[in-house]
Amino acid sequence: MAKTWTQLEEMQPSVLKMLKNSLMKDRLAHAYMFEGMRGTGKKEVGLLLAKSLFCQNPLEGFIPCEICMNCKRINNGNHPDVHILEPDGLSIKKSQIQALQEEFSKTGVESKKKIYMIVHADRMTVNAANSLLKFLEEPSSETTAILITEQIHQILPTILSRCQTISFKPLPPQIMISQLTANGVNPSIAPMLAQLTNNLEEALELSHDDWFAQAQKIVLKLYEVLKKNPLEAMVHLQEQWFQHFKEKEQLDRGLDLLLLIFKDLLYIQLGMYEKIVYLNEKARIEQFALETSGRRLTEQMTAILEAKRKLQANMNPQLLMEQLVLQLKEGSSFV
Amino acid sequence: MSYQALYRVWRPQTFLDVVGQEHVTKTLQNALLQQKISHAYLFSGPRGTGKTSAAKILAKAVNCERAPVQEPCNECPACKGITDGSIPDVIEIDAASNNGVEEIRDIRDKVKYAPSAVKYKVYIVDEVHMLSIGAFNALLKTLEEPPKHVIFILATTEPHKIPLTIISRCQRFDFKRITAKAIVNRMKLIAGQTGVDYEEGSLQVIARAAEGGMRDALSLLDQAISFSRDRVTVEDALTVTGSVSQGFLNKLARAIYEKDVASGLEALEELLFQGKDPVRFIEDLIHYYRDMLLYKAAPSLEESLERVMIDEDFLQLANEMSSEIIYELIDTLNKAQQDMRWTNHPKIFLEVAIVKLCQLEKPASDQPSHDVQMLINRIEQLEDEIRQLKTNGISVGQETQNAVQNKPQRSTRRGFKAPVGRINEILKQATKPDLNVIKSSWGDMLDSLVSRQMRSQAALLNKAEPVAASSHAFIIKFKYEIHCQMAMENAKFLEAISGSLQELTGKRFEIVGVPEDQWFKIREEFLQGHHTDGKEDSTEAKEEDPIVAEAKKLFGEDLIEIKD
Repeated sequence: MAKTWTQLEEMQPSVLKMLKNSLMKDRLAHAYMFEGMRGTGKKEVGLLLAKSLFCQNPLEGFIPCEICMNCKRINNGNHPDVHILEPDGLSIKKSQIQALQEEFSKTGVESKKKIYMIVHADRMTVNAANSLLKFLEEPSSETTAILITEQIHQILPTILSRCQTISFKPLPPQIMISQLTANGVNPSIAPMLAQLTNNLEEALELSHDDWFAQAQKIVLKLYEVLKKNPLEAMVHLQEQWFQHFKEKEQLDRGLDLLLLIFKDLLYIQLGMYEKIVYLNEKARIEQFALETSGRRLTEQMTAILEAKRKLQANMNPQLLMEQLVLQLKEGSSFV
Repeated sequence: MSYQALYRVWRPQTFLDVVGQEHVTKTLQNALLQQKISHAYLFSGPRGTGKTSAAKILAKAVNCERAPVQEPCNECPACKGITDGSIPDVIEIDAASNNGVEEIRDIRDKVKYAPSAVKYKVYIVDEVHMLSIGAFNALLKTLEEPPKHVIFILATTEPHKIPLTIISRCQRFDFKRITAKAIVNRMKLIAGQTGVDYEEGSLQVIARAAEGGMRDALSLLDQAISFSRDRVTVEDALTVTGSVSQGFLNKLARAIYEKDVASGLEALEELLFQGKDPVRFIEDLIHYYRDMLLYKAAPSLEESLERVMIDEDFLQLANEMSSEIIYELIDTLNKAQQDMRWTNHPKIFLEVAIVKLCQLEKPASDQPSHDVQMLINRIEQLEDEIRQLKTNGISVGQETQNAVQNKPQRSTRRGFKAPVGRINEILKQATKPDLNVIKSSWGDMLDSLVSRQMRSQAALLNKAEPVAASSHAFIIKFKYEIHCQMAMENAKFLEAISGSLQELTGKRFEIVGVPEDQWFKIREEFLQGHHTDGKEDSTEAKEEDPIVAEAKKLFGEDLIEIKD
């Protein structure tokens, strides 16, 4: 669903201010890098910019009217001069970039302007990224490039220096929480959802998900077992954890949930009670917090982050979790 | 013609414009004047340092009609033609898109034809590191002995990917990162000529964020101009570059130095809320400490500081912090920075890193070996006690007397009676930060009890928690009366707790235990007393204080009831 200028302005005020000023001053760069977390509206803004450029009678000179033929066609994704390049399989291949270059050596179908958007620009192969360099730096006239990425640090510095980088801010958790509660999500789990995702729709989906509710319980159980008897945690892993967290994404989410427990413990120790996300279990977690120390918490959090990294590197999930459990138990072995 | 980015409009057209690379331009200019131009050059260096620009200028200079000259004239037909790309003898090849043997063969085939419009045929092969191995090898022979009307200029950001056999056939020029000063000067020139109004400091911010790349700097300047209203302010520059102001870094560094985790995290939260980039930020922080280190080592070398302008806070902090701590801080930050590159959640890493930094000093101060540290602690402890004895010698004597008196009293009674007066006293002075200090070292304290072979006593604290603390005393709430009694009557145990807390927090705390049911009652009463009396009473209470205090001295606080 395409969003309008005002809707997006609420989400990303500084980004749209930037674009507005550029449009008004006629200083639109030939290449932009939109960078930000998932669900921050990068692609929507990209489409919006395309509409602003192509719109036949924009309001106030830059706001797309949403009713002219060009706006409608862009919204429906079939404007001939707006090209969107997405990963073919896991990555963007060199041949795709070459096809793009060939396409852009011709003038536009309807006007001289042309736009291309590369979604997940970080997934370009090394070859593809390097092929883009020259084309990005000195495109034929009236071409606008929009590169979109979630991981700006994996993009070649030579590409970055050719673009104007625009950072999309994540939605502040407070706003997210209030939006979630407005949508009928239980206030006690809204903070947790806001921590886990930045995308309203995804959060809403999670809130209705049985799997997710069950996952919270299992993660909390794991922590308790870890406290009581670390060796039993191994059994718990076999009996419950692996039954529930089967896929890689699921395991990742599980680790996120586990990390949030430790973050809560830390916040409690620091006296920042308003930041706690496991509201349902607040009393119990407060008790746990007394029995641990800040230093140990940071060590444990580091261990979890390390596990997350290994998960991305395709480590065997079972070994990964077992190693993690052994690491987490260290230090908490008193009594 | 649509708008063109600054870095395209202001692409250098003479060697003079290629700033910060005097070692390259000087050599090339001399070679041009002496007509000792080599047949193959390799330009390497980080992005945005002027490799491609220098290649284009060189192509013009050799073909300029006024040759030999040290700068292309940019006026003769040859220069103009090369600039606008109409002369077919200067060929710019994107090696990344044409990286196969096929394309190189094509070059090889055409090399032998004489140039059609100008004197030399110049091949500018950009991004040459992307050539395939086959392509490199196909190029070797041509590169070594091309016809005399041909010049090859290879440009790359990654010279380590180029076979040695290629490198040895070229004259290699390494382009350096451009200094911030040179970038600022160039930007000033550009801003002046395009009529852009700017604040002095904003260019500094941009130049620092560009990290030695002129193109980065101009992109950012472009963006800042677009973003600003009519004048590029420092604030605009900070927003566009995603970097943080020094005031903020000072604030955070101070929080870290004072081990104030909460305010450190708060500062971080605020920062991320403003949409700053965690990775950029951690780099800023590393440079901040790097500059601090540099400043400590050589205060006079002001110009070698990269990020920091010396201001009062910075000076103060630099004087307070020891080099060892800074080393350690930088080390930790570096590690975190490494980890952050590979994750979608750099924010969490940053948070953990900040917490780690706040907890850092311990190992550093532990250096004089554990035993010595323990002895030092003991001595400090004793000193504290002596000081206490000195300041209020009599009262302490009486308190201990009281304690002696009280103890048999209590044990004769059934169950444990909490010292209500004492608790109220503590509650009056209780503050949240004090409680947090205790709470955050609670777990460590339990550990140290266990390691001192007091496992069974430590078990008494399993269901207990600290509920209130003032700066020198705190209250432990026990779930069961019997535990409370056992703990409170074991002087050695109390000593162990306060001893280990002193080690952890550096302060000596007095301990008061209270069973849960009594605690609620006492707190209730305390709160009520507080609320109904309001502020007036509290001031009155202060006025009365000397008398009450005197009475307490004489009788011990347990025996006194204060009535209006």
